[in-house]
Amino acid sequence: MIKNKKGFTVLELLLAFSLAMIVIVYLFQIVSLVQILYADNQDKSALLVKQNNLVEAIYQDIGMFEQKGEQLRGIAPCNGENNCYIFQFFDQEDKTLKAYTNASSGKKYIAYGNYVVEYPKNTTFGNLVVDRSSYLESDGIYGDSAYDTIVHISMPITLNDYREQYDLNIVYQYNSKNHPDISINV
Amino acid sequence: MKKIKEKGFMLTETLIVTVFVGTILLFMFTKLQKINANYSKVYTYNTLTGVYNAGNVKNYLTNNYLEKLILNYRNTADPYIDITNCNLEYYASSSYCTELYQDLNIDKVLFLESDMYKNKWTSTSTSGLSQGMIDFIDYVNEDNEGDLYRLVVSYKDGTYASVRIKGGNI
Repeated sequence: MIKNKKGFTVLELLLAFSLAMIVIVYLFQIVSLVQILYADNQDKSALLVKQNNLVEAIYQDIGMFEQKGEQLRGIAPCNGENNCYIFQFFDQEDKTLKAYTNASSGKKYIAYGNYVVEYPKNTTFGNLVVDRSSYLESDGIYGDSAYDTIVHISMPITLNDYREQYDLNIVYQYNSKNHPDISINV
Repeated sequence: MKKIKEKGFMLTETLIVTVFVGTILLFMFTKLQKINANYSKVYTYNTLTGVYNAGNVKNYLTNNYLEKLILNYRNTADPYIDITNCNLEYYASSSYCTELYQDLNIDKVLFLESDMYKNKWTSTSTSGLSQGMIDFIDYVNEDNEGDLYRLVVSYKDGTYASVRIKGGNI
């Protein structure tokens, strides 16, 4: 009797399909991971660009690289509002920096002047703090142009969706003897 | 005529295909690791805040003893000068410097040549530096013939930033 040996046994088929399925499952996981990374990256990039624009606007206004300290006239807390400061300038209108939550929608925002950055709902804002440190009595020798005052603007921002920190951290230095008209109220 | 026994042939084929597909998966995995590493660099290297904060250190140095720092660097065989400790040789006030570094969230500040492979760097130059710092210095290194230097700053949040300093007429 001649036995027909064409085709595959059930066991061979099962083994082949099992191995193929294992490979497909791993491939699928890799594709999912790449998709998630891509989507997260898009959202984070967009938010980072907006926050960077806000930070850059502040640095441009306070004259960070001018080394003159003439543009910023003062910083003062807003009346009756938390997480809000008014930036006063010699050469332009005052601008307000504030962090707030829209009560009805629950959305969170940081605004500087007319520029507003919206953050995901699940973001935690810390306190917006403006700090001033003066070192008028130095332990070294100050030149006429040496900085003796540090203004530190900081606010912790936690993006809980991505478990990352996007803190605001801005530092401004000036010489208080050369610029006694700058008024920082903290 | 001899009959060829075909038992076990399907399994060999499957194994060969599995090895082939496994190799492709391994290749994709290593590429994905690179993509992930580059993705991390975008968020840790030369962030806007980091660059502005490094600029603050540069401004402060410029107002103090930058010329002395450059001259000392030229006269030393060391590949970099670590100015994290607010040395009074380069800063008018160590308390001011300490406060500045604290507000800027700085972990380490190095002063070195912009083209670090030009003169002083050898295989032992990186001893004492973290791997992250070494990778970043390698990242910002640029070939140039001019009198250019760099401040390389690492921050406590794991980010890095660098600003150029011209030697000028010193």
